[in-house]
Amino acid sequence: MTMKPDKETYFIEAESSQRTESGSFASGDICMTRRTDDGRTLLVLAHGRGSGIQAHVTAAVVSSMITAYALRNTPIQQAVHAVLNTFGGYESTTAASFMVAEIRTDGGVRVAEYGTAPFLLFREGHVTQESDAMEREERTLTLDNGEQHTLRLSRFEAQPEDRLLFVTRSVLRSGSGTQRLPEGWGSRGITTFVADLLRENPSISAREMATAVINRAEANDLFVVKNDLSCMGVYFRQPRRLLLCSGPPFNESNDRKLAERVASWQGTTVICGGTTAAIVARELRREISVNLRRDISGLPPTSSMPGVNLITEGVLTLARVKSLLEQTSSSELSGHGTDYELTRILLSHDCIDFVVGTRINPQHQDPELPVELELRRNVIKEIARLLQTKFLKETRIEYL
Amino acid sequence: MEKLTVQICTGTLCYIMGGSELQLLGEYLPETLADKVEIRGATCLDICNQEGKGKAPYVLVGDELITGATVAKVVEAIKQKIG
Repeated sequence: MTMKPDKETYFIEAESSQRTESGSFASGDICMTRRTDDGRTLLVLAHGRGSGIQAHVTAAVVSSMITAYALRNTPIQQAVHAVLNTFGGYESTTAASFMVAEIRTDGGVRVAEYGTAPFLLFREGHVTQESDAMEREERTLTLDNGEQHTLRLSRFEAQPEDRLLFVTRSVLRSGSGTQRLPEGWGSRGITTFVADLLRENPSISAREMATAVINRAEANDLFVVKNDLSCMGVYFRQPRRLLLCSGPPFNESNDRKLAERVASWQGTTVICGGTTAAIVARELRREISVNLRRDISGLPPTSSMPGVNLITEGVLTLARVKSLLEQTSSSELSGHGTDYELTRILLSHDCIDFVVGTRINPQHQDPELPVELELRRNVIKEIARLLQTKFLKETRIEYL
Repeated sequence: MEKLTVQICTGTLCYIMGGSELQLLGEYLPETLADKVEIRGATCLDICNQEGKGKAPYVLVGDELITGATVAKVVEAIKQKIG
């Protein structure tokens, strides 16, 4: 079974988890993920020499340089050449180790590594050995000052349900010097750990996996992290789909169409907006009931209807979701209330379709309202933009 | 005896115009009325879209529309209906 070239079939989930060395407030590692306009997914993990601010700055510049080159489809050797010419290699005080991975929509993966621990590919729950279906080569680069450096290049075709794991050397070294792991966790330790994790929970998300690895590395260090720890995980998986409908259709003749989208949807459905929910309930002849209780968020109550996972009020709730997405830096949210609940639903899906009705309630534009109501269309556009650029979701907006 | 249905609109407009307080209606009802009334929420009663219907928030007590509704106004209307 090979990966179909259709972008619709498989989704590439890429997430990272990090922990900063105890006593240091800046991580010397940078994890970066980007999705390019032509649909490629780029991952960069850079580790600056040492720790603290200097390491952080080096790693940040190195990762930006590599990303900028990769975004323009420049051969990776050229990017690495530029980085090493600027920062120097292993011996230099500003040295950095890094890896860059490029994943095409048809499943083609290319990885270049300089000074990092070799990445791990898990297929059918087990780590894949070098010989299997993976081309690896070592390339020697000669810098302008005559120094020679070795770059490790790998290339393979990803298959559905494959997982990739990138960790910094500090993760492999975690626990070294302790009684339990005198030699450190090592790549065998981490391989066994991940294989066990996959056996227990075969559909674990990339985020949960990266978090579990880092949590364990931290525990290995007896919760006093000796070095910056970073892990990036990738999961090629069946996409989790979400349909979010908000707003009554501009033409009433489209009410039926809206309801049918909800009825025929394969995946999770959410409706944001009282009128919208009422239209769907009427068209599908389904009972809708409001959960009359005060919500901790201070937002209007949610409602329930068979076949719909969540029904909320419209613009007020969406505006809150927008600011939550703006503020949060991780996809882990721990708050309570309707706004948090909806944001969590958005973040736990991969492909999100928005169906936006553009009929406006003129009363919402009354300048005497005590609260300023934003235009639904703009709020949703911004939510979709954030989900796409900041959280690498695939989003589509359809106006009715 | 059939219960009197009270529908509170929880739409955006009603909510910001004071409807959030109305959700506590159940707590303010005198005990003598409480078991004769069924309080329900409505996603949107779609009254704000109709011209000349008065101000939000809206509550339906039976078939009577209360505009600019407050807890006191609604309790009063319920008392009149039930007698």
